[in-house]
Amino acid sequence: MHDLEELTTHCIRCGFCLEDCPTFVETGSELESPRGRIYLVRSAIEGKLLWEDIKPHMDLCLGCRACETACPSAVQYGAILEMARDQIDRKRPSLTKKALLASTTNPTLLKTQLKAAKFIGGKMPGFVSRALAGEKAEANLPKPQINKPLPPLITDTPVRGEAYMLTGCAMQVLYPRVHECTRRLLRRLGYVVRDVDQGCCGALHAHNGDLETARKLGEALTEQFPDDFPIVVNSAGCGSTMKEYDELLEYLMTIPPSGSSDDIAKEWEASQQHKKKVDGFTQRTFDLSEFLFSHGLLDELKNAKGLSNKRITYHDACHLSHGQKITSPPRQLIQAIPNAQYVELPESMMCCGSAGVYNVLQPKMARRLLNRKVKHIQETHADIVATGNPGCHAWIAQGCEEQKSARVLHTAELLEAAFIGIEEFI
Amino acid sequence: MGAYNDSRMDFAGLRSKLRADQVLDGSAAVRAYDCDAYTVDRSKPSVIVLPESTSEVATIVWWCVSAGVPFTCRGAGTGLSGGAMPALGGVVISTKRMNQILEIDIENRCLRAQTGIANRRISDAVKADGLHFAPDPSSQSVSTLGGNIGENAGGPHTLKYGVTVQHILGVTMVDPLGEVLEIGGKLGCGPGYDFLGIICGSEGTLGIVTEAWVKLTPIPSVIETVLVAFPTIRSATETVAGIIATGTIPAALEMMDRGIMNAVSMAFGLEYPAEAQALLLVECDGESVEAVEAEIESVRAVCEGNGCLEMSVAKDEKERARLWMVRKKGIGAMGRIAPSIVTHDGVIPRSKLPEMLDFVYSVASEKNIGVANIFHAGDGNLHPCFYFDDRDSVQVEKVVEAGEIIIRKCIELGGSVSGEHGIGVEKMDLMPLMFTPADLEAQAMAKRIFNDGELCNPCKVLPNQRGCAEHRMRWRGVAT
Amino acid sequence: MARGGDVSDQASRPDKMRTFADAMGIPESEQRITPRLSPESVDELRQCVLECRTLVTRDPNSYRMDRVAGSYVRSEETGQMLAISGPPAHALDVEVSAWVSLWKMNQVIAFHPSDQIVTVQAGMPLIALNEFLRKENFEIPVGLNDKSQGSSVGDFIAMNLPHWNLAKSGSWRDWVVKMKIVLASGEVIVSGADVVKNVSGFDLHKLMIGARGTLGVIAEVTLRIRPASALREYPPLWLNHGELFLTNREGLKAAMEYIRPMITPDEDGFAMEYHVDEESCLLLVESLRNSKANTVFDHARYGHVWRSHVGKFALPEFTETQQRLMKRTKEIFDPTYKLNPGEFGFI
Repeated sequence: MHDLEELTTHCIRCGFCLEDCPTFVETGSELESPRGRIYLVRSAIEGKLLWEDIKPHMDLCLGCRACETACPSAVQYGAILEMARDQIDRKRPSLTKKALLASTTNPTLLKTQLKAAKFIGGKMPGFVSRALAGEKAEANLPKPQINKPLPPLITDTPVRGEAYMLTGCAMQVLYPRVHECTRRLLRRLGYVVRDVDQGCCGALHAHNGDLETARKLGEALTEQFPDDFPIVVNSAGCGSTMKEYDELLEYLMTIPPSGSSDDIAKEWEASQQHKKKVDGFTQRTFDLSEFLFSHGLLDELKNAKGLSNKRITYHDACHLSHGQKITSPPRQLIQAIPNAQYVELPESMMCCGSAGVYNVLQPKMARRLLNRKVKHIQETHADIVATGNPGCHAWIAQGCEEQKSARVLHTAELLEAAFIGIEEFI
Repeated sequence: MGAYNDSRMDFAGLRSKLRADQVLDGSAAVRAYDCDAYTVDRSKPSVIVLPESTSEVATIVWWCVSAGVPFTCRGAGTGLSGGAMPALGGVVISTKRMNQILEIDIENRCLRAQTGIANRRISDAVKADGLHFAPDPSSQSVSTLGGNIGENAGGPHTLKYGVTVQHILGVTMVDPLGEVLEIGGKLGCGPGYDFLGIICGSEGTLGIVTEAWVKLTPIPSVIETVLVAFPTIRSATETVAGIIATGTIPAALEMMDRGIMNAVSMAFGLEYPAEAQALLLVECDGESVEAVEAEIESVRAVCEGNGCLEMSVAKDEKERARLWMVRKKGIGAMGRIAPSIVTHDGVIPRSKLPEMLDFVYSVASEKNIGVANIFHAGDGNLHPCFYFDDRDSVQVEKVVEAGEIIIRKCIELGGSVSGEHGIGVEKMDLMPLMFTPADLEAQAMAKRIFNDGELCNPCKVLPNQRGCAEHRMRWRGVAT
Repeated sequence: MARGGDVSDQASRPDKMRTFADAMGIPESEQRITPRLSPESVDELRQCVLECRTLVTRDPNSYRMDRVAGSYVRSEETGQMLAISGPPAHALDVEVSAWVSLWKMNQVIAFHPSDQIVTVQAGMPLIALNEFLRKENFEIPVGLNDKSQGSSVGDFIAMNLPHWNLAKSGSWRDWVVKMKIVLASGEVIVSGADVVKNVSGFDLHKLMIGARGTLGVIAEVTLRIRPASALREYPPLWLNHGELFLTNREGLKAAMEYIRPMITPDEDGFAMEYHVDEESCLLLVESLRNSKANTVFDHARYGHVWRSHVGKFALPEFTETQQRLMKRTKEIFDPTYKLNPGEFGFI
């Protein structure tokens, strides 16, 4: 507990986070602001409030971490949120939420569900949504991308090395083409992806306060990527969590494990072992845009045929801009696409409401944020919105489709399109 | 407030006038609204309401008056003197859902907005037209127009462009009896008594300003910002006095000492010579390159005369923006050093700066507490920032004492207890140091023009109000 | 100027008044008329306020703006107020038991060049203050006008006279940082401090600026000053006697279009008062009424917002809210309507 309390004390209540917090901007309520939530968590730790009193407000948080970018005192809000959710969950675990996480992060289960969805009309069945969120569902169950084969890759770049690519859980089912584009872009820079058997990174579990499961999944993942290759991640939420495995462990080590003293000793030993492995792991994890930018894709793009007459804007995925502080590389790459016109999106760094499974758990707020986002996209008159996270991708695409606005592409798809033409992606 | 007792109060009447989502209550809500950015004193409201229009505010106030319930207005809650703390409980009226711009008149350079809008969003809305809203408190990215009016907010550019009152043309307000008043307007305040002058800076005690006409100021076409490093505090403070004496009025003239420099270098990686003990941030602006260059040169001469170590000019807009981000988030960055801070706000005649700063450091070392200084040097507006752990009551006590000693010194030097943060509950006890009972009575007369009751933001600004003294221990008690 | 200088007989005065006039050394022969009192200190001024039933503190030689008290000119299109014009007007003639002139309270009390602050007694003529400052290489860029500078600083502030430099230098409110005021109750109070930025308590001194001495008598003023600059003197435009003050850029624009053929304004266009003869004034008013002026106007050049020059017809011209608040304020600060009766229509 000590660590969580320590983290909350760094907030001096200056309030600089308020206007960057999507839920505060939408509701105007201090309870739905980072400063308010930190105060509530601190009050719960001090015993002045009950954990269940603060639960609805922790639930409404998107976990977008825009507040961290705004915070002058470097309060680790993301960590506070996850730990507080962990505390709340330990008191009263939510079984329906656990089931949702389990199904979303298990590729086989997810596929089955999506097939079933075809028969029930696109949205989650009402009784499921009510069990999870108490509200009507807003998010369409996503449709997997049609994986039309792309033309053969032609490049004269010699092979420079190997890299791992996180295939992830939901991503490989929903956005196989993004993976395909990632492979191609990496190859253009001379990197070949080494395919390995791999599981889920645990990001969704961590964001929703199931830190124990997140740790177990993370532990497994570190073992699946044993060699000292760069690990390229094209899902911002996953990358952000993978870069923070070390902090996750540190926190969990502060919570006394339950069970016999033997178990405790064993667990302690195991986590010590694991910590050593994690140290190197976080260092070699890269977001795709970050990796492409630092390995010379800008130069490659000079020879690309480009996207003529396309107006492009970019939405910052929260776990990329706030979680990993990556805002400039993707923009610079997109701006380097020959013949395309780049236009900045107003409030580009404000969450779209997708936020992992948030749009399933908090459909109303998610919808308000989506409408806000789509309104801004319409103002830019862009043809294409690029973004670097599957959650944002599906959610914004749903909004844009409803409003007949821009087409949403993953940054990887957009960049690959610059080489082989946009026709392949429409 | 003998009559009001929130445990017996039924808020059903109030609820019936609003949508369910506009009313917040319950243990978490009243906790979250028990203080603003000043955390030493806290007091819980019974209920929080989020009106969306002037008429809703009027309805709420009218209900409060008829039920005898105290009410306190709150914007973003970034105030540093406890102005938005519901001192006697009751209803907190949050303006945060009143955040629309209602009318923009580029031709006459003015704009009407609801007062819950964040200051920065006003400037953003007219940026493309080359205009901005000049008051720029450090909290401008979040603090509301209403809060700025209430506190008569300043900011770094006050030096040249003046404080909030100079940029407000008219207000729509709900008076403490629930009546809607229009004062001034698009054309500014006409003849007659200057009520705007007294409403600005009244800290929400004269009613609730719900809409305002604000003046828009052209963005200067040439801006130069320089960061100057000094080997000693004295050399920096004397430079400030020197620049003022030359007659140059920079757009801003800000100072940071070593304590803040440590925090901001940690937070934002600001670089400066290792032996520097103080930094000055100087901005000059104008309509022509020559005029601005001339100002910068005169500043340079004074800096060099006082033995500055380094003077670096911001190369471009990006670098300039970064320097200002560092300055504006400087106090916030103190959270990296300690869990709590109390920032004071005394003002002194500018020539007394060197003497005053020496005094601040000696008080801090005598009390054995940490202090950092980041302030509007050009205005003589100090912000000694004491950092401590508010869970340790001994430290809290020391910080309160040190603050009082410093404020006493400010007044002794002919200054004031507050330059821009306001009196709120924080500095109420210090008012008699500055004013005689007759002065305070005259201020109370001014308050009576609008507020003759005890319900609208009670127990603020003026000391010794009826029925407030007994609550003071309770406020402190909640905090510790 | 009707008030003060030419003094009318007064048949009955309270006995108290007679004693007070005696004390002030006013000869018996002159006591038949409204006594002119010239206190030399704040304490004597306080005595005056305490002893008199009603008193006028305005300087009879003041530069006045009373004549623009008349009617508002509104755009027919939008109903927007464009200008204010009308016949000369004065304060109402009311019975006054004493006329108080502060001309003997005319000293600089404190001068702090390094803080750029000066404290003066309110009776000091502005012209004298400016002379003093000029010698020290400073200036106060408010209210510079040849025909106006004979007035005292206190009068200037009480009347809050507009000036050509308003757009650049702001009004008096922006330069007064502290005031010593004698209230109607005789209480001497201080508001503000010797600093350029201050938010401690309610700003009483702002309430006094432009209150035309109806809420209290300004005794001492602390002003911000600034190092003398190469300020240009921008003379007002003169076209005989009528006066017209323009309220916003739209009105000014229309007026400028009208005036331009007749006169070339100062090249920088900083003149803020456009004085025109009566006939022209009428024509101008007409042209304003029909104005559909709607073009962009250069604020830096012509930004003048009309402020506070009104006389006896003023009160009914205010909005209902403003009237009510003003009456209430007057009741609180001067319940016996002792100070400057007639101003704003308060009797």
